[in-house]
Amino acid sequence: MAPRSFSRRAVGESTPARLVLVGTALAFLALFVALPVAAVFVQAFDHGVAAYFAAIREPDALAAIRLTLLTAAIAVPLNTVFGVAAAWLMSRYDFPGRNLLVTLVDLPFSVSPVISGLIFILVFGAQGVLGGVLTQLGVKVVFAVPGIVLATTFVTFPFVAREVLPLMESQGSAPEEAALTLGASGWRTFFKVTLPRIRSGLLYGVVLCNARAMGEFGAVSVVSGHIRGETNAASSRGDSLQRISLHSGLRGRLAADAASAGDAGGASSVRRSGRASMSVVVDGLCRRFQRGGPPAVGNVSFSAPDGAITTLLGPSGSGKTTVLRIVAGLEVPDAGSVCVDGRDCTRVPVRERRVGFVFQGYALFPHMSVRENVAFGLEARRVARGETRRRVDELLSLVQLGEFGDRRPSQLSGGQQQRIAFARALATEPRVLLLDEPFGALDARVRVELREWLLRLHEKTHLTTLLVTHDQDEAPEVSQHVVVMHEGRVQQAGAPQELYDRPATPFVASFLGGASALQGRVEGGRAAVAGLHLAVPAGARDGDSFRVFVRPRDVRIAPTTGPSRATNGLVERLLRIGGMARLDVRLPSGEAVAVEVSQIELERLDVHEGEQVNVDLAAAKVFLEDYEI
Amino acid sequence: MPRRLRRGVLPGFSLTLGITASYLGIVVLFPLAVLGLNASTAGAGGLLAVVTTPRALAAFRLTFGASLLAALVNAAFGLAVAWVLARYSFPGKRLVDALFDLPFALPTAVAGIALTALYGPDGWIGRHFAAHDIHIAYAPAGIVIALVFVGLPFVVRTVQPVLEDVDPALEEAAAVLGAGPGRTFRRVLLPAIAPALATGTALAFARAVGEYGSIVFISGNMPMRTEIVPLLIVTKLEQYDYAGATALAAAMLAISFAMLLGLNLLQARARRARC
Repeated sequence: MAPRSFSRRAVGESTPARLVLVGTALAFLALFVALPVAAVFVQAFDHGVAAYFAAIREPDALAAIRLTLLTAAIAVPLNTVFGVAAAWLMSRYDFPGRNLLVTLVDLPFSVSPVISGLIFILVFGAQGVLGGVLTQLGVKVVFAVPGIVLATTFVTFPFVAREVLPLMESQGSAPEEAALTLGASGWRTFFKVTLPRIRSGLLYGVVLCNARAMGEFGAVSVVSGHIRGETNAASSRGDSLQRISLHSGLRGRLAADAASAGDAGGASSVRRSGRASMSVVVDGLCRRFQRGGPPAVGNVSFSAPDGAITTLLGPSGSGKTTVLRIVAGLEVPDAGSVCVDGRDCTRVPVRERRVGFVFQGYALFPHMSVRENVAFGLEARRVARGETRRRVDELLSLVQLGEFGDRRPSQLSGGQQQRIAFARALATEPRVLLLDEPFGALDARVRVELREWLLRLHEKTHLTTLLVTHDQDEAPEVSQHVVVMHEGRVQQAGAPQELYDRPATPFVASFLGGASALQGRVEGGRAAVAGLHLAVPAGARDGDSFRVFVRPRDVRIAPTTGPSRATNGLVERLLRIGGMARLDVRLPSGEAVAVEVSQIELERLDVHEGEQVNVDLAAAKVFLEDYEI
Repeated sequence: MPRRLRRGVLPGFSLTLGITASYLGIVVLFPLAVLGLNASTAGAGGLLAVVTTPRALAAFRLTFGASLLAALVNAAFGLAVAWVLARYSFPGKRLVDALFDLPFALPTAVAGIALTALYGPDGWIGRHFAAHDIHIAYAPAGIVIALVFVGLPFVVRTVQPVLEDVDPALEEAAAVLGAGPGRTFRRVLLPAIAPALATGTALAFARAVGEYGSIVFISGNMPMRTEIVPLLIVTKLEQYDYAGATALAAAMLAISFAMLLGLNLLQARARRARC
């Protein structure tokens, strides 16, 4: 999530090491590239600019330039067509002799132009294989334009293929296969799917091919830098778009609520911290990724009880992963502190924090076996070899993967990889276990199994655990302490039931249990919404606007008109899911309310789609707005 | 039945194989075959006689030795450059990035003249060495420098994208597990970029073996001391010794081809072991 280029990196080289590396690269550039080129220009303009242009305008020079352009105009398109065809062939099909083919494509790189020239003399020259035929036809190849074109084509032969091949290999053929299933023809697939995807590599290859053919410099420096810049921009743009679309819905509606409710969670967690002993205490964390931009984490405080699982719950982009990474030491906070077991470790480098971290995508080392992955942390801490072997065996049997030690991570299923990631994190006997969306990438059944497995594992280890999730059903299942986050702030912290029953902010009310929101205004000391009158919190004045949050299970419906706090609504949709039924009821105000009842209850009520029902919102939770709608 | 014919469902196998094979045949294979044929007319004995003259042997040693040295220099510094370009941001980075393509684009003869002007006894840099009686231009050192120049972009451009693609979480995982920067580099990053580094180094080496334009200017072309094989071939051509030139060319081609093939096979094996 965090951009890598930002200056405060917790992981990576120290500043002096960086400076040495950058210095080395620049010195190398100066000695081998910049100075020689400078020398070229100094010599070219030695006799003044006028002399330089006069030299260029000489007939010889003009003819040479024309010939160069002609050569490139023939050689480059030919090699481009060949390069794309060869790259497609070598990346999409596996056939005998493939390696030989790759080698042959590379060969012109290593053949001296001298040898290629000699070869063409041998073939087309007067004494050559085809020389006799050509002389009869009156065609001159060697020491003429065709010879130059041929030699250039040979020398520039591999560039396009070499640039496009790795790109095609890394991209895989899934989109092409998708296009075929959609009924596209081979050519259509190529022009609409393949070509756009390899565009950047193809352009770069063509530019290099052209540059080598013409010996032209300006184009390559300008265009190649530009092309790469464009590809970079495209990928990063895609990334941020995805992020925005994930939480834009929530952000738009609730932007103002968060501001009003920012400190509620902090206060309640401080109250709780007096009761149990806390092994992770986070105080006033702030972290901004862009100067002047919105904080990813703004003044976050909470504590995690010793030996328990604490859940950080929130939608994407709420800052929960950033908080977890700060606790691990993978991010440096702008302000605030992290205490583990009573010791302030805000400035302790990540390597010395003794935390276990299970990454979202597991981050298993792909080139190491399962055993090597689990042993990595022990070796890094210089644990004796026999002891390492014993611990790895123990951990592999703990995660029930004893027989998979020699496999590569890629040979395991997602659930197995997940358990290896746990084993690797536990190997170093961490003081705290940090889990970043540990079940996010797994299918529903494996997720349920692994959740239970995690609970059993926790019963054995009693390791203080922080778990990040966006899944509101997961939080109460795995932990007794939940911290709800939204837009970089703690909204509320407490036991799952407490949050559910007494949400402190509109966000918590709507996020937990999928509540419907209704707008209303205070009239005569009562909250009027959709023809209903509800009790309002103290301090409400007439004319204040407010919102009501009501969970589907808390709405009562009845077939007849009756109680005073009810009104009519139209059943627009009725969905039966297992033993439950879900109804979308449209109120006269135009607002919709979701209702959930059991199948048995539905049978008793005898309600159907398109019918009017009475809606009772007695259990609704009222929130006053401190802003105008 | 061929070993593993995975044609899959994607269309275009015949077409691309046809284009690739015929183009490759016309531009590369046919001319190479003619060269081989010409060389073989001299017979194995004749070939060997030409290739094993002291002057030819010295040229081979110099060509391959200097190329290897240049490729190794490029491997080390190219890795550092790719590292810097992939991981750090600093003012002027885009310009520096673009400058590393220059050796691809500059005509090698121009590069040779420029390097000679720079490292020659009167050059901006060579002057200071010449004062201590160290000669770079017109000596093997100059050849290595020219070869470093022409092979420079290969390592940078093959390693850089791979380094950018390495999942940052791998490094973070290593750090959380207590590994220092050295161990993380050796055990986590290097294995990930090793294939690209090997490819880049091999390409730089192959390019260096085939280089001619720049070396002619910087080497001084002294037989037995600073004469490379391509130059020896030109010399033979100028003396109308076509048989000798062809024999040398064939020998060089065979060595280049064998090395490239070996490398590609090694890579294919590494790739198969990976998945």
